[in-house]
Amino acid sequence: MHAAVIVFPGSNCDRDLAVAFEAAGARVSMVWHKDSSLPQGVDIVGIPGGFSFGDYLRCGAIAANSPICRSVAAHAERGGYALGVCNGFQVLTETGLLPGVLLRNAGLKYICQTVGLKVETSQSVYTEGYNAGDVIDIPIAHHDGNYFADDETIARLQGEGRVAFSYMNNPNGARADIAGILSENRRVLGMMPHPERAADAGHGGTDGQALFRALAGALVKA
Amino acid sequence: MKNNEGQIMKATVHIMLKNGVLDPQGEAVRHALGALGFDSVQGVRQGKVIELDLDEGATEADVTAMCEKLLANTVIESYSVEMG
Repeated sequence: MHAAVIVFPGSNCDRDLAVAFEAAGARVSMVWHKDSSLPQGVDIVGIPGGFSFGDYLRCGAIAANSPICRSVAAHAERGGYALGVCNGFQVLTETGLLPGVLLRNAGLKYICQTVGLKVETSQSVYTEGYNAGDVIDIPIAHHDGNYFADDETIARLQGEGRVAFSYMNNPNGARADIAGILSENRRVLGMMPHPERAADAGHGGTDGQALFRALAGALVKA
Repeated sequence: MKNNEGQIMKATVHIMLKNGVLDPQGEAVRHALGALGFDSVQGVRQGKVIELDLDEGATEADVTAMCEKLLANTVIESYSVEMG
């Protein structure tokens, strides 16, 4: 598996994401936001957490219009895989690759804690290492993680089994407790919690490891 | 509208959250006003104003395109454009 991790000014989880991909057996290329194309043969693009462009205008809005994001969109439209974590999820919604938007947390506070997540579906390369219904502990660290979409979109996401993870105790006001969603072809995942921060015993939890391992296993076969 | 030199046009974009979208910041401001004794405040919605300096000849359609592509997220925000 060849993973590309995009680096924006203000990204701060790019190396963590790279380490998690590498630990699962991937070769990782770091790609600067001003590059206009992805390296040859990239299977999956990782869009990391952080505060790209200082969260100016709206979280992820400036990053979503950076040169590399045109290539990321083309990659996804060709059926390529993409994982956006935290700010990466915000970038994916701003590019339109995933529906909805992440609003300011309902309680207005930045929240940094480990939360219980329910795995809603095992039907994706990201979640097939879990069983649907499993509850896993993954850290969140965000100010704008309050998922919002209109009723029709929420119903479609639920009806098509595209909610990947939901919060056990909704920390941020997200509609339908949504913590992570899949694209229509189930190859793009955006999630606010940080699986890369629960991917090594030294992190204090390893519940995120199964995501990276399943991904590596599936993409090696591909 | 041109300025005296006839070179620069101004446009003002107002961006607001759509009705029905929770505005936690507006809500916090409402609370703070209530705490200060301004009992008449029933609701607060907070938005953004963006002022653009444009080359002469730029049109409202250009600014609308800017709103659609970048300045507003039409999933949650509505916008209005004022030229001049």
